[in-house]
Amino acid sequence: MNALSRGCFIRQESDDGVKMRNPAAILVLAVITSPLCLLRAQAPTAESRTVWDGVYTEDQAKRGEPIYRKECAACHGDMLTGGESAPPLTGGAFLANWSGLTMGDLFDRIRKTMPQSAPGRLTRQQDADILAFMLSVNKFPAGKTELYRQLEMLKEIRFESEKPAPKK
Amino acid sequence: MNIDGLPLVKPPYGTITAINLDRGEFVWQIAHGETPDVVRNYEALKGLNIPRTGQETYNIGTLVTKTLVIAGEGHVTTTADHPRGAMLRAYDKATGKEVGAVYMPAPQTGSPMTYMVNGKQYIVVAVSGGPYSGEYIAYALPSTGE
Repeated sequence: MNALSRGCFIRQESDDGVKMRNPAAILVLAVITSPLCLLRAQAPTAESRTVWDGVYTEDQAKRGEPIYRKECAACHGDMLTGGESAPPLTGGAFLANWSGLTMGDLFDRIRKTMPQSAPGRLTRQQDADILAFMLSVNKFPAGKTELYRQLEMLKEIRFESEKPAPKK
Repeated sequence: MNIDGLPLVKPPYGTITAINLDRGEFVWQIAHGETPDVVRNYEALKGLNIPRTGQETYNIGTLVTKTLVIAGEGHVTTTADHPRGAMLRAYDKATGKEVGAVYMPAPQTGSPMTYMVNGKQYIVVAVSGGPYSGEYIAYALPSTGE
């Protein structure tokens, strides 16, 4: 007998590889897919700002931290590393999955789906403050102006996992 | 740990390993997952031929069939071969050699599974990630006539 047929494993950092998402949650989320597709079609121009341009303040991130701890950390983890059914909000996969999109996409995602128990319960300002905290944890530089709480303006800020090369 | 987004640790960043449970030895080990965009497009690495690095794996499971190991990618990439999305890959179970890959619009979550309806085989996989909401995608395989 081929010993291989006895087992083949994927090595990973988590033991939760086989857990599926809550099917009910998937159904709910599916409803918002089409408006998100429309959002994505409106790609920002290359001239727009990115998260490397200091798009939030340190004070704002400090305001966002306790809100994150209270509203998000139970599922996404104290260190934003994710949990059994909640994706990480830092690290390679998070950065890769959002890179090239905009802060508006990320903000909209939070507004429409989080917190999972009551999406949209937090104010726009609270969501913006949480986003500022997430940016600080992900080591994007703080700046002098706070992160906007208006979707249209957030769409003008590109989320890029790597720092764009300086313009020549 | 990273420098300007480039991980400090040496690739592969994620692997699939086949283990012989009788002897406790690795039979094969491969990098699983496209090289992340941040590495492939890294300015200082331009011109270097870097083999597929794989991706750090998070909540990615495998499907094992009689002859294949099937697993999707957990990271979004955009390459010359496919638009923004991730690949579902199939490997020869005996050797680890990749034998096929299909495009998914978002990364895999959970594990793929396979089932048969009226003689036609399907592979179903859950995808989501970033702004892409959770979906199941079913792929149909050609009928074998067996």
